Amino acid sequence: MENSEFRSQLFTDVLAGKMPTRVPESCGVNACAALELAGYDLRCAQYGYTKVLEAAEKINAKYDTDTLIGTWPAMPYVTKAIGSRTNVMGADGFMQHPNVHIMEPTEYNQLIADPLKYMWHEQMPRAFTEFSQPWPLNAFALLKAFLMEKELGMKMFMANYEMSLKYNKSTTPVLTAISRAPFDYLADYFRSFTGALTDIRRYPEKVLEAVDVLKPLMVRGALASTAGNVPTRENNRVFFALHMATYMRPKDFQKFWWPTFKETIWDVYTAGFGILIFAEENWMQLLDFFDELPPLCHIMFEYGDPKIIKEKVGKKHIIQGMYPVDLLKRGTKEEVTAKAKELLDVMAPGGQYIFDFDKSILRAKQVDWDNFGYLVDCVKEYGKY
Amino acid sequence: MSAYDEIKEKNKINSECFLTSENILEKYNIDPGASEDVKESFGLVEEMLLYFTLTTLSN
Repeated sequence: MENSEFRSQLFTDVLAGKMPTRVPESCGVNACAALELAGYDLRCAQYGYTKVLEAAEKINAKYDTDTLIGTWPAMPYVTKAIGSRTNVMGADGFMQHPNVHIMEPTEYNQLIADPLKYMWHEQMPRAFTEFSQPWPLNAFALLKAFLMEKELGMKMFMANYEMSLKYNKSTTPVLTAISRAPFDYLADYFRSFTGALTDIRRYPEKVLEAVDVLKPLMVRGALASTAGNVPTRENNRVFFALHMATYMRPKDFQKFWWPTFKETIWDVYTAGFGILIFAEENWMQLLDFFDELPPLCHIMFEYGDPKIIKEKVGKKHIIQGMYPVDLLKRGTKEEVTAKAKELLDVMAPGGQYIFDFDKSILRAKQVDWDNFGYLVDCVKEYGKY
Repeated sequence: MSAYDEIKEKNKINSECFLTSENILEKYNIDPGASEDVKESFGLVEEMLLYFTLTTLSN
């Protein structure tokens, strides 16, 4: 049986650009799927950590995955404490991100003059209703959110680490901090998806100024994750989930989205961090841009042609993803394993590849769990070098 | 200066909502000789608050 040390080494090798003993897999499973599999109601169980850990324990004992699955809930206790309008629980208990706009286009000058001041004085009281309460209720709300994230986060971290060792999972850190592309930050937290796309036509200069002033914040946010300690590329990896790029016209992408993202990535990399990117949607028309980033960026792809992605991106960077998760619902065992072998034949040669789905499993009913087990076992066997 | 500190300097934040070491000494009326020491207390929590602002409160 492979132990935790062996599996950790698989990831350590791939992330360092070395050839591992076999292809590691990191099939994403959300905590909600694990909770539902364990028979819990998402509307209740996510408000604590005991049921989340119990559900994670069950799913990790059952499936011989390389990484811990079904853990880290969306922390609805934090979003409730601050009265979030941007992150709310749906009727079935699954957390949703409504397309809300927080900032008006007439406020660009305020944002540009002092982004942090604008956020604390204007954006946050609008996005989080508890912050618009009078003193000391607003301070208590902030304190509660900060303490809950810190205290419950530490409990989860320690329990997850012990569970990783108990069930022979990798402990190699793949993600230790989060930052964002400046344009995505402007769209997702200030102007909304539709507002940002309208602004690049109506107020192009303001948008360019805004992403320029947000860029240092995106870099400093990543740097702040180590609380002043100098990072190492192996142990400090910053995650960027890319959102707006594929919804923009290529010329708009090149003008408004890419330049400040590229600068952010290079600065974070130069400061000593590893880079993890989730390329949401289909990046086939934009693949060449990844060549402008520093080497060995770990890029998770959702859709696209695996052969072309391997050819254009896989030589310089580390690739993860693209196995169609919906096949686990509709496919037979033979179809599920045949597809895995087909993908491995293309992606495994030369290394720098981590097996994963195109999208994480979010809900228990989304897949046939027997197929999940067949898939994980198949990758371990067929993925040997 | 390390690459980490150079990038920090390059992306310096000038805001009344984020205090640099110099700002901290002035705001809290602390002896200028404590410039390096306040990085271990006030400097640390300024970084933590920044990270909290840009992650949890940007969600």
